[in-house]
Amino acid sequence: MDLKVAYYRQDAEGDFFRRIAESGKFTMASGRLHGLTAAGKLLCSDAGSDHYWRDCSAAGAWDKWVRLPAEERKPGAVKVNERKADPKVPAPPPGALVLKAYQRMLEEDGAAGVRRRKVFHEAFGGGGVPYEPGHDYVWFGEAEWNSLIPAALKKGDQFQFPALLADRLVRDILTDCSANQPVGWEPADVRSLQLGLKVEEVTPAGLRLRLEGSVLLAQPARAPVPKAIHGRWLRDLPCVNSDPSAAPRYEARLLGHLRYEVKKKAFTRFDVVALGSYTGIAVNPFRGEGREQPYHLVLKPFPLGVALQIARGGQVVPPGGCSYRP
Amino acid sequence: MRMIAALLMLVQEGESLARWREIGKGGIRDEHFESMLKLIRPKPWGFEEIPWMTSLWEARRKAAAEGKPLFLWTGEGHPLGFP
Repeated sequence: MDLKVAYYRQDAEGDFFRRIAESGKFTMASGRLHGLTAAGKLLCSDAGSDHYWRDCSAAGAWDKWVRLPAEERKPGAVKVNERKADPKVPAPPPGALVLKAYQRMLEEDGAAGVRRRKVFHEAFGGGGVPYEPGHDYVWFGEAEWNSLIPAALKKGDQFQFPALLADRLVRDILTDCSANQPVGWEPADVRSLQLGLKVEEVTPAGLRLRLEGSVLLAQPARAPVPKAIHGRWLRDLPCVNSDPSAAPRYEARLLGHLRYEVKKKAFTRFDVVALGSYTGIAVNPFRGEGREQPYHLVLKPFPLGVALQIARGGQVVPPGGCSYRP
Repeated sequence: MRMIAALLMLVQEGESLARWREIGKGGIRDEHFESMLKLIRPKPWGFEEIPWMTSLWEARRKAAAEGKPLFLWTGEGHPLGFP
């Protein structure tokens, strides 16, 4: 759950959440776990400072649950009616295609290949933190994804991925969401974008499309970082870009395989990968040392892989959480 | 020797791709597509394999009906999105 949505939504769900948050003294911090009953009784929570609430785990929550009186735990002991959701809470439009994107920092393996990295770079939490890819979502409304399958297609037909969708796709997901600061691409940062679709097969059951293209995203050069600061970064943070005026950039190729099924009236496959050299940013760990310290530092280029796929059904997570634009 | 090393690396499924720098010239090759997907996606059995519900209210209804507790993961930003 996103605390920013949960705290402020104006419906029965918001009322329920605010009540348990108050009882548990929740903080607006990430990565907090809580066990609770359907009635709203907190079993454990690691959001507060009270020692009782620390180390909340599923096993710990279950342990406290089974110690409750049987009458409280039996099915149907608590009645929860349907509720009318606050219309301001984001939800995908009817018939939307919901896609999940993963972004992974890779490293070269010395044989001109790439491999997964084991830990984040040292500007992220001091280094040594086990690496996990970033993730985000994309929602295409029904009319939008329908524009990917114009009528009367035949095998071999080629056409451009609709420009507005392509722009939204590359600017929202072709950034590193795994680290502490993704790059928010503005429209002017799209220096080139070629994204095409080719019909590989058409049958009464549906059709297969091949997506292929390239993109260059690049921000303007930055004001050079003062020599003394940049020198110290280079000494203490090997991940920092050697160019003091380096700016974010991603130059990538894309390949994808899509499948549309007539009977389901839906895409059943939407697998896309992007791979290229990425120059990203990180929050400067020394930013608190003085006003001359920039908030961000620019990283050395590394291979960034992005994978897109149809999201698991039933999960509603607003897209674009990663496409930070100050 | 580099060619052999590169081919051997390809055998390690999901762990490496040969000549990624050449992708810039010729694009991504079809034979690399599935291994790239596997390389980029999270490893199996991670937190995403859990069938998380994203509606607290629906989770509450299910817990009440089944006589079970809820386990809630909160973030400033959605934990399944960009937290």
